[in-house]
Amino acid sequence: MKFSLLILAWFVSVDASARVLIGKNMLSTYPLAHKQNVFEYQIVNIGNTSAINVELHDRDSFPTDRFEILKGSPNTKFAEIPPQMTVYHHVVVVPRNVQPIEDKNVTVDYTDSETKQVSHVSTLWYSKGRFTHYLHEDALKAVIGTSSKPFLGFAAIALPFTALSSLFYFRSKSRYSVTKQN
Amino acid sequence: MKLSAILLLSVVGLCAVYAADVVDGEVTDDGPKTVQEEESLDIGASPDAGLAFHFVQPADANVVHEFYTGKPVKFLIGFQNKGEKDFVVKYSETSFRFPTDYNYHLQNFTRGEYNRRVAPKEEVTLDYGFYAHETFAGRPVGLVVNVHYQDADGNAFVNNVFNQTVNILEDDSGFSGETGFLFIFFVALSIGGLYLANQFLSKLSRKSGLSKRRVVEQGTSSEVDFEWIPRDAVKNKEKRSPVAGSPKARKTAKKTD
Repeated sequence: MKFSLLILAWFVSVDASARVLIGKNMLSTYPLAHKQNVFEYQIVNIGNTSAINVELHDRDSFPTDRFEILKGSPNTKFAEIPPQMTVYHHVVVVPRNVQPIEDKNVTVDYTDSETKQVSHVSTLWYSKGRFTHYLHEDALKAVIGTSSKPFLGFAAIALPFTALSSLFYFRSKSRYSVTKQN
Repeated sequence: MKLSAILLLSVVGLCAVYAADVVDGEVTDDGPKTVQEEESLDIGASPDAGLAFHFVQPADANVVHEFYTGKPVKFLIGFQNKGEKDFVVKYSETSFRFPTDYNYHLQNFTRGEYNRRVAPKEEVTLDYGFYAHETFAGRPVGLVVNVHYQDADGNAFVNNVFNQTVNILEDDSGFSGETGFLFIFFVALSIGGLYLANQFLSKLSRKSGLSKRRVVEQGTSSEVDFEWIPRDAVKNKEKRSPVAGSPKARKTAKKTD
């Protein structure tokens, strides 16, 4: 019994290592050209040991001739990610033109702190070959903008009743008001 | 002898079963379904693939399996190729199941199509997200996530990466129009009720005679406003003797004088 438990414990210890998952999300509601678009990277270590020398690479997604990078960098390094921890990294970019951009791989290279094994993880945001279309703000005005027509329509219906009623009230008050005598 | 009898009976029994199907004349289309069921039973995980699962939104979903309706639920699936051949990750399927019977599907979400080739010793991360509809609010459901992939030889595999009961909660963080208008309605009802109560009570007080004291007229005050009375009239009145009474009384007063 003890011998079998020892063997089981050995197998369990052999599997203990760092394992990193990558996620990428666009935090902005719509991809707009000439506007700030915020991207968030989640680097999760779901393993039992720390991941060291973690390097994130996503430069291919934001070519400098098409994007202006305001904050953060698509390529960054983290010294250590403890086990069962998530690290968030943000990048703010401004697309220079209205254009479709092909989605590229995001890659992370990391080293296991215990075994010193180097691993390479990649993720594909959406599926390969898809494009993110950065649109002009005017194209989304019907969706994200507010029109004045409903307000004008409501005013056209409500104002005659409210304005006329108040006008009649004040005229009547000024003509026929009786001061109270105690 | 016994063995031969048993074998004979079993053969006869099998023949009887198939004969009954033929005699009944039923045309059943069980062929493909039967094959599919057999495939689902036979398909399992590949020993050369290591899969991992992790919720990224909500952040505490890995510990507390609770989701809010109307808010996105996102998770990552890690796929590790530990073998020597390529794998192709085809798609992931996510579904809500009845918590006490996982064979009963409540909702099937759209497939997450990946079609991603994973080379030997390579790791990839796949993501997927969905929204829990408000009809599931306040009830536990079984969440099942399966990943379908195949190896270079065309063998299909299915790996169940998540299979647990989760609680779907109602999101009451934002302003609800229903609650707001309900509040306004109750305020209006209370004001209307107070007005009616006031009307009713005033009627009651009038009937029982508990009315306000009537003001008894006691004439004008002694202070007279002389602004509109000419001064001459006031002087003339002061000159005359204050004779009171009727003309007859004045005559008798004169006679006595």
